[in-house]
Amino acid sequence: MSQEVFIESKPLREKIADKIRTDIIKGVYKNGERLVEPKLAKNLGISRTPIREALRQLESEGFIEIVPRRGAIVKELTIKDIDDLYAIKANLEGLAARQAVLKITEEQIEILININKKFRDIAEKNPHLTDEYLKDNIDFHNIFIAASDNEKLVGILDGLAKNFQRLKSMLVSDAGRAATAVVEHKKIIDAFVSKSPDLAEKSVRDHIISSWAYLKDRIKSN
Amino acid sequence: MAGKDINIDNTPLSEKIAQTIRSNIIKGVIKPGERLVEPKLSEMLGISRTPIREALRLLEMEGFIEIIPRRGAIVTTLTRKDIDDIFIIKMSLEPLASKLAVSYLDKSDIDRMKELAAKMEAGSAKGVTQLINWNYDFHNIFIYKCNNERLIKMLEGLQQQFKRATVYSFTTEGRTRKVNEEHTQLITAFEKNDEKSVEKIVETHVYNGWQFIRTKFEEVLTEI
Repeated sequence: MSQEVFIESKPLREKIADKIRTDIIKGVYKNGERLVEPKLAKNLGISRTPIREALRQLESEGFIEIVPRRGAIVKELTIKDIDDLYAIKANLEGLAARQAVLKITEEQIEILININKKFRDIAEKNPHLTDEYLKDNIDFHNIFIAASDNEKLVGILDGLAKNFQRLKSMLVSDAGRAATAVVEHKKIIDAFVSKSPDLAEKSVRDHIISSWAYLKDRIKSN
Repeated sequence: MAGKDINIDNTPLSEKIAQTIRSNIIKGVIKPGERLVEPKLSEMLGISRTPIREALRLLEMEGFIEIIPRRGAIVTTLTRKDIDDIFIIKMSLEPLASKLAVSYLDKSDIDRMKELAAKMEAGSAKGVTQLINWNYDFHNIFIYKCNNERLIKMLEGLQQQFKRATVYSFTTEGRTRKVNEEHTQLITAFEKNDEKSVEKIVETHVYNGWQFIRTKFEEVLTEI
């Protein structure tokens, strides 16, 4: 393969991976469904090499499994998988919060406070929460994750977040959960204000463990 | 320092070349950002290009160099912050893996850990590379038994970025002795199924490794 091809296929691989990932998240491709290379190549009008590369990337992200002689299969996200993801998330987001204590600015804390106010309003008014709520929630977490100033940590958490997008439909929470989240977010904000690394880590960990407990209940009752 | 390892003669040529380049990077003879040119290396070392290319690929896997299309092999930069950023993540994830592994490790795993610990205790003269490999195997025994696929993959990924820093480990007898002590403590805690102790010991162990590597790294920097 010439170097030219190698250079150009890199962004292309990303693009293909993004497209397939989105389709998996949206449920266009179902759990256990086979992703057939020649078919993808025909549908997307792209040669097979970058598709193979994209599939390998999605395998490392945990979206598909490449099985010898069967090809790429959309991986089901089991409760055990989500358990595994949450265990890592609780640790790493807690770590991010701990590191962020030293770096987070007054302005960023202000933004956290504002997001949480909005959260409280939404929780009080809407029995069914919206996409906006979910977006705000992601923003809230991303602010202190970015403030950790640890690029590698941010990268890992970003990779994890892609997996959590598959749970999005289940994440649409009820007002009760939103009210709890508001209280938990408040604790996180207080920890940043008091500049306590231990408290920041603990409050974020507790918050993640509590949201997983809530989500698990919902999954099981469905 | 003890003499060269007797086994060195069995080492493949590519590995020998990699060792030479690696130690020159660590010593700072070859600087970060510097290009390693295959024909030039071939001329300097009086060796054909094929084993040199293999050596470069090895060094790329270890994170010492980056092979960039059309530019060739470039020595990567390792900053204090890189070391700190990686270690702090490792300090969070490896104790988690060890704690999870407590319920899954069986007697054969513990025996294997004891075997490796004994090898490390007896074999400091075998050289840093051998100690690093045994140490790597030792840690992998409990990492692979944590029953969390994602966590295993993540720790594998970190390990790749990490090799660049681990070359500083086991470079003093004091640290090697300390590592062996910590490994022995860990084995005992695993045998007692004591999750809390296991987690704490691994956390301290990773932290101590971090501080040691940090000190060594500072020494290298000041030598440059």
